Amino acid sequence: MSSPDRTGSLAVYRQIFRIRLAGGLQYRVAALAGLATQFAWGFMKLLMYRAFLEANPAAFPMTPAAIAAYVWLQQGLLMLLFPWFLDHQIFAGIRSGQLAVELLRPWDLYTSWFVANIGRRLAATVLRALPLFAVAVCLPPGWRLGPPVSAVAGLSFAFSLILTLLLVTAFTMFVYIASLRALSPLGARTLLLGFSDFLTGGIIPIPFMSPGLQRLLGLTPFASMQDVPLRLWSGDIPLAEIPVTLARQAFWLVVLVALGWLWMRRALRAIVLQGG
Amino acid sequence: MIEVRGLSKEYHVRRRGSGAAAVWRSFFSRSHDVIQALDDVSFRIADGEMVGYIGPNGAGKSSTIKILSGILWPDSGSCLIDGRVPWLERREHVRQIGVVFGQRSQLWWDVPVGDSFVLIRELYQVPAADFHRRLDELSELLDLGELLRTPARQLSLGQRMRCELAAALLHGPRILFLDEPTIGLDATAKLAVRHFIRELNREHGTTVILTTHDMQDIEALTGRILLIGRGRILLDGSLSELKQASAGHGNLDELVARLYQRYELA
Amino acid sequence: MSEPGQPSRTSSPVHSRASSRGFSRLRLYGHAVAIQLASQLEYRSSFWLMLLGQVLTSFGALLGVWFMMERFHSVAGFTQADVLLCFASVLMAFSLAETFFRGFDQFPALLADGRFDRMLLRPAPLILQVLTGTIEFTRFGRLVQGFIVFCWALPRVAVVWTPGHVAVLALMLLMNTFVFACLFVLYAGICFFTIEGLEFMNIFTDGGREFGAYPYAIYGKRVLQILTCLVPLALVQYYPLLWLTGRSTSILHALAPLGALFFILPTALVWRLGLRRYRSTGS
Repeated sequence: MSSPDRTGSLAVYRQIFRIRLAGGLQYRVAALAGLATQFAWGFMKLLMYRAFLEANPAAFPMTPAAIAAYVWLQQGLLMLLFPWFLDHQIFAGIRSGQLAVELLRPWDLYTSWFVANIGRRLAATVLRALPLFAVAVCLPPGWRLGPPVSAVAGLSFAFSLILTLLLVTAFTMFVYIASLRALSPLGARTLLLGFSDFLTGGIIPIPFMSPGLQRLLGLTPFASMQDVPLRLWSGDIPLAEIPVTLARQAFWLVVLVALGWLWMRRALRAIVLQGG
Repeated sequence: MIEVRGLSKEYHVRRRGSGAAAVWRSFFSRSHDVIQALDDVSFRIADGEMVGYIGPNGAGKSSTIKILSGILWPDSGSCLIDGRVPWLERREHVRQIGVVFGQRSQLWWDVPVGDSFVLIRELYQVPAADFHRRLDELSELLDLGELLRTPARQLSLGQRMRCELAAALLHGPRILFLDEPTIGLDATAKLAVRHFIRELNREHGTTVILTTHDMQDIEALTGRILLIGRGRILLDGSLSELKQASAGHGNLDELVARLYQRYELA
Repeated sequence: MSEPGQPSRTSSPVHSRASSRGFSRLRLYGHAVAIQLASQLEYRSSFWLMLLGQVLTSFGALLGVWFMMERFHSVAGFTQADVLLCFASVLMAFSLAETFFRGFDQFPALLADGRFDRMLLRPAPLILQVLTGTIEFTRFGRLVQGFIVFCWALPRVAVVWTPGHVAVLALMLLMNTFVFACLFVLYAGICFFTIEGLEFMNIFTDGGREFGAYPYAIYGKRVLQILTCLVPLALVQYYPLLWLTGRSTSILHALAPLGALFFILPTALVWRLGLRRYRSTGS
């Protein structure tokens, strides 16, 4: 990310962030319905894992407390963690030519899209996560979202969550940039997002997959996304592995942002050259 | 014959201020504004008349059209169109009317226009002979020709409007509602649309109710003007009466703007 | 005024009127399907991309089920083949319902952009118009995938297939599609009242697809009761599956999908009340 050279640009980004946050906060019933939905959804998932635990306890790779924490954190932080939470205004802007106007503004497009996306994700999460967690901590033992197993787990969770948010956003930037390059936005979305749900642990946690697949995923940025913070919380990632895990997240973040930023610069240059 | 007596309609709209505090407050409590969209509206329109229904945005034009076309129930008042109450006998009523929205298409977006017409024919269950007779006539008057084989999304605005007019008339309605039919059209297309509407009215005696902001539409088409503002009919008369009421000179746009000012609508 | 409602000019005798009307509606629907299929195939590349996207997203769900069953071998007494048969039949039913009832799924957009108002301006039945308005053939991607899994699972389920089994399986698929279709219409009916609270319906539509991958009994008694009596998703999944896989010989379980027919009642009620509200508030 290049820092734009105008002073006051930080205020601009803050403003973008604030507008998106307010936009997300205004729907009360939607927030309640969303809460109820996520709660029901999480409960069904837990019931499912329960059934598997009973079927074959030896094959279950996590503790019951860890899977409960995993499910509730995932439900609460859905909009923070999942790649498919995209900003359709950006696609609409690309299609309608609004992009030309954005290019005239004195800020870096990559940074402004990045910030706007984070704003959207945070706004959508705040209202959902807190009430959901408030209920989830009160459930009976074995079902509830317990506290982090240790201070280290809690701290590394928080740190890793921030990394994940940035990493997922950096990943989705590729979808936007691909749509810039007159490639079909649909195609970009389809190919980039089609598998990401499963590969990041959105459908089943990565420890439930086969050992071979787990090793393979370890070589990609996908394993460094949502699975990491959700398992850090409950101590499912052992203490000794925490530094490496976080370092891997940071590594992928730097790689994805650098690639995205460079690609965007090339894409924009192509657009300007075409006079589009 | 359209006979409208004492139509009223209220809407409840949610209110929200701007700024973080207002957003936060509205999250916990909601207040409603009542908007009087129509307030005791009455008029009569005879068969074969062409009437311009004008007024500033939000004056109640589209509420009236929605009620007259049977989509919306009014709060009170009566309306009889060819002996039917539109909102009570919607399905029989809509067979007798055609509606064109300048800003919305009734054609299937990705489908060739001719195919859309076939679907419309089946939606109205128009007998084959009638359908082909009308389609031939409309194709000639509106110069549809090649357009019938083109998907709607590929049409220019002017071409699309010609197809929209045909689509609204395939079932041979006796009343035609036109909502801003010339919006965004170039000069040639506007003239073609106006010419067609005049011909339609002359040949078939179709009643035409036209809402528009384009005063040239009014001048070219309608002998009579209904001016609505804040849900009330403010003026019902001919173009010259309108000129008198606004007491001044200048072109039609200036007259209307002055009228809006006089009634404190603008 | 002098001309009372134009008499129908068709000379069909009165007694055949009802059936000819039914026929013409069927013809209208068939026409709409043919025309929209032709035009969707015209955007060839985006058609196949969307089809692929559908396959990819639900392929993730399949992988989830696959790896869980690989690891645990059975759940609540159901084998991997049983579960995949269940997964495939639910996926196929969902994708059929989604293809043809897509218009209801997109109902908020239909209301917002005035397309529904246009439907009110036409004399044909509204449900039929929503159906003909948007048919999304790219949703077939899931159907194909479901079918492949179905073909994989069928010979692996420990069942001797008789005509009775085939009939129950067909009934289960058909009625499962029906329940999903009802859920879509219900969703649209609720749109007339609020579009803000709608998300909760996802637990039955998308959730019905996701969680329907496993026989509903694994979620416990309470869930099974809700999905039997309230939203009859289990009637078209768990009970016939019990009979199909030989876990039950009760004819009641085999014919349970028929019970889901009653779901049309609340669906129609909500739709009607919603429509009435829409036409009196205009929003």
